Amino acid sequence: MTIDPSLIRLFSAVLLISGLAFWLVGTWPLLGRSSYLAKLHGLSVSDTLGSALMLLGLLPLRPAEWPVLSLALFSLVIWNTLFGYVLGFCSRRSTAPLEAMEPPP
Amino acid sequence: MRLRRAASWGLTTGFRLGLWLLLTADFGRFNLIVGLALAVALPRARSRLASPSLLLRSLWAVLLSIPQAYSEAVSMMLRPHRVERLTSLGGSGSSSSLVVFLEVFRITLTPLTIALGRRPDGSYLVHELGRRRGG
Repeated sequence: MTIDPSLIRLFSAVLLISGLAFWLVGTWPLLGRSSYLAKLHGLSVSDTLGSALMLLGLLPLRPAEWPVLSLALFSLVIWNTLFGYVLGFCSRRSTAPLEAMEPPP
Repeated sequence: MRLRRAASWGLTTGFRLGLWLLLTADFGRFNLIVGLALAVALPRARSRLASPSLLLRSLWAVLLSIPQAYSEAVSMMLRPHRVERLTSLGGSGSSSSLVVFLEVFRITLTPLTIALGRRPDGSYLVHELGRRRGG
């Protein structure tokens, strides 16, 4: 069974364009005046989910390169998510008072 | 305890071997043996071991959070989520670093929630975006 190459290109173009849309939507709030953590939520949309969509869109175009692409997908998702956690953790003292960390008496 | 150790050993070795195979992009028998030897020879972290069923459940929860992350991202694109609040999400309370990693990853992967830290009782302090107050 063979799949029409133009169909594959269309499929990957849809993934790439939606990844780009995720990037724009997540990056736009960085210019606004929302709080630090609210911007971090947007970055999770663009960096993690948008980049993942783009890499998934590249896979059908370059099937021979799947080990590199899947490694990039895996490390991007892990790294971006954990970096978001590290930034959130480090901001805790200024945005969320330390008492919030203690369980109620 | 032996089952836990075997599961942790197999998971670590498989993970390292998988990374090696993807990095080298060579699935030949010789490269497989080299990767396996490296995966066994590299030092291992001595951390608290989790039960295999808890590990599997945490991994499954991570997989389930991927479609949830995309649906939350789409709902963030369609409607503004401007209300911020600090909440707390329950965790398994396990002291295994791998389980804690998977739980933090699951919470932070979804765009509406970011884990900020872990309380002594095993729950997580979470920063959440919502549409309206209290909702």
